[in-house]
Amino acid sequence: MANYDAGHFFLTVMAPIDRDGWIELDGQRRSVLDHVRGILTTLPTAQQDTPSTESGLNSPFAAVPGTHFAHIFVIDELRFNGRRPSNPIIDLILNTHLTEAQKVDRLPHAYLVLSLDFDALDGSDAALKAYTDGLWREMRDTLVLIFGHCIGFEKVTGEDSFFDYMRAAQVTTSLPYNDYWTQEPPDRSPLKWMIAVSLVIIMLGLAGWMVPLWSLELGNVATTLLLLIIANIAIIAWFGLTPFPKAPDSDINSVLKALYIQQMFTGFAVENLGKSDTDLQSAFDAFCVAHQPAVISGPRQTPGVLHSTWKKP
Amino acid sequence: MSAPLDLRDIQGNIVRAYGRYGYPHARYFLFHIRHAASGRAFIATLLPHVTTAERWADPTDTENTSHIARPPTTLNVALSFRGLEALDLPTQTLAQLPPEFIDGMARRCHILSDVGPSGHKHWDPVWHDPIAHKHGTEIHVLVSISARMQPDGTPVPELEEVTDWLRELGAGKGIKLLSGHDRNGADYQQAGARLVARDDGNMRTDAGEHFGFEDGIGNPVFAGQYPPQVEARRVKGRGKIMADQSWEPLATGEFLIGHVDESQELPFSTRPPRFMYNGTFLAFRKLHENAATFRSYVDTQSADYAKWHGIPHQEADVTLRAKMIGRWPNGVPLMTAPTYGEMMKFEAEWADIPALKAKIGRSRMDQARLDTYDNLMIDFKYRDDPSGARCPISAHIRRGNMRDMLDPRLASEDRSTWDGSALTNRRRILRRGLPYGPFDPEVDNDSVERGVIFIAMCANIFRQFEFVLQQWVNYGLDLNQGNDNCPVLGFHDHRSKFIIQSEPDSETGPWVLTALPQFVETRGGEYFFVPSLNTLNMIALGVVDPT
Repeated sequence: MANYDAGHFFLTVMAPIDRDGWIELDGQRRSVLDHVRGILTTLPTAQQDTPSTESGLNSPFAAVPGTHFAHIFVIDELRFNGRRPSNPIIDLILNTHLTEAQKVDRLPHAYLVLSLDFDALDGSDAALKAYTDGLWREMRDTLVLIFGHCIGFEKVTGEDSFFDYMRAAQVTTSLPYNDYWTQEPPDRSPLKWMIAVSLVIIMLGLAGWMVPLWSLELGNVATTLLLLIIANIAIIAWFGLTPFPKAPDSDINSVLKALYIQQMFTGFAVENLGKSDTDLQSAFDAFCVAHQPAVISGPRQTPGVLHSTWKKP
Repeated sequence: MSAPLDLRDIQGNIVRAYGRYGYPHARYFLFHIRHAASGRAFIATLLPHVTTAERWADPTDTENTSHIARPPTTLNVALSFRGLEALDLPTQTLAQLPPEFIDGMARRCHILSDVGPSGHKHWDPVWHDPIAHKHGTEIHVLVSISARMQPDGTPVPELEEVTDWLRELGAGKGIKLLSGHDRNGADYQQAGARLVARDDGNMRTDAGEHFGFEDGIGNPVFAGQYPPQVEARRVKGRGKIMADQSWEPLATGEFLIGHVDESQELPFSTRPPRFMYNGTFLAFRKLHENAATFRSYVDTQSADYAKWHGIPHQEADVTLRAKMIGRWPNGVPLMTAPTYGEMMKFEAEWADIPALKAKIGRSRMDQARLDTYDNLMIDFKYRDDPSGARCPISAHIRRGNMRDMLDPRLASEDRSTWDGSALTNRRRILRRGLPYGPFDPEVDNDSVERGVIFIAMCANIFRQFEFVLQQWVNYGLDLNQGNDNCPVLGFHDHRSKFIIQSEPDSETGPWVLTALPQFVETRGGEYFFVPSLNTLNMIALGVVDPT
């Protein structure tokens, strides 16, 4: 399931940045982390509210084909969760000195994190390469500006080396974000398999009890129970690793088309309130010609904006 | 069972909407504290006059004769964050107050949609100060006075006496009564219920506001607010809906700090805990109503609606108004009488109600009939109308209080899976306001000073008042209505629309009102804390101690 789920590739990249690095600004050495954060702060977001819409700028990720959501940020250290709790009785027996500091975990580097999801047929490297090629094509200058401060990025010279870099810095994603399932997804419960396999094990166990011929001693109740537990956990784990099915029409172009049609059709409905059947039919024909509801590649919402403007056909 | 509360420690405006208890007149005074010592002395002076939540004698109740009589006027005190600061409260107490209260209403403009025509530059001068921080005019104390009326409808003379007394207090060296309400720069904000003449020529109050609707019908009921027999009568339609679809009062802690709330927690409180105990927050908003725009907009839209539905213009006009609000102008909910015809039938059936309301010395039968009528006005659930064909999903009352609408199993046939109002119980507010300005239908002009003094009270402004305003009134996601907002109270632009749903198999289909103009504009407001009597005393004595 990790990295690929429900028709989307969830890419998380952690590119190391030297914590001790610096850049020179006006003759002063400044923290490179501060500098990268500064660039990220001025990177335009999607046109997701009034100020960002009025700015006229749009997120560079909106231009990259297949992108749903993108999130880019810097982490410099792990959060310290405090001392690991311990049992005072065990501490007493082991003569643990509670005043001695426990080890505080640290990251070897600071990291630039890029976390995004995009449309993909599977979780293969080829699918990832197709996307990173698009990233490189549409965002090269911005990527160099930001990732140029990361360790090893100087080797990136083109699409192929950019993919190699992203692949090397990729970490397995275990928490995808996906909210395109609007109805209850098909039942994927492993219960049927669990029942079937359990029955087989129990039957084998009973057979082994009556005819003690296997060295495994299947007739032994404890062995049968152990097998039941292991088999069922394995089934659940196997189900957990199978990607969730893709929600209908959940690729970005279909989503943009749906948003567009939703707004256009609202406009159409308002425009034609109270019309006669004939007028309504001809208005709807004109609507279908203008907005091509069934053609995904036809007119649709621009990526990275909140509204499409109603146009009377 | 209702929780027993120390009613004499709780301010009376928390448990009572005075307008509905025979106090049709109100005046709101704002004060600035120049010196902490004068502020404490001011609170000490007001303290003996503060109206508590103590039960009042009810002439129809023969069992509880020991209750005190209703006073001619009531007085309640609330303090802004800057007011608490001016009273020199300890930093530890101040710093742990909720952020939205520290901000004050003006700085929450983006959450409250106080932008455009509701923006601060359009507020009454007296309310400007939270933003401008002009020295010497910051709002610190709100004193609310309600007054009963004389038979001719004018306020009892005590109202003028209290006003003079407050003016005198506000003219002292350390305390300043702030002026700058409305366009005349008055030194208090007036408000008053609409009064209509009875058969005998005397006046009675009417709950109408300036768009012509009866207001303030649905107000939450919380545990301990009423004596058990009153609670049993009022809880239907006002409390919370349980999984078995019965009605129960909301947890006290939703409206009184220091008591357990709907999530089985104690509401957020500062130190010392006693400081906020038996207190609550109050959001004061002066909402101007563009009555002429409302009238002309509905009038224009009614022409098309009447034509399409083949009904008289007047019927279309009243129907559109009702669809926008969710109640007919006479207060009858669409959930009870969904069509014009049914409303007319209902009105004819209950034609004796105005007379019963006006009657002095009601019999038990009279009261029973009034109670039945009251139930029909309030006791409904949206499970009976999931499509919005009776009461549009986006209608004002459906947005303000969603009742059981958010039950994830609203459409389920299986009763055992129903949840009632669990997801809305933490979003309820007590409404304690009155209309202001003249009730003169002849004056058809937006610029006339008229509107509603909207007062919301709740234990957590952010979770309750601001959430309802931002997410339910000014947004549509929870209702699956996209960006549509409240057709009456919402912030409107050229894209604003309101959908009137119909039954899927109806012949006429749904109707859409488009290009909704701005009907309601904010003209001022602030967040206040309503302390308990004990806390007021501690503040007056200067002994609030967080350690």
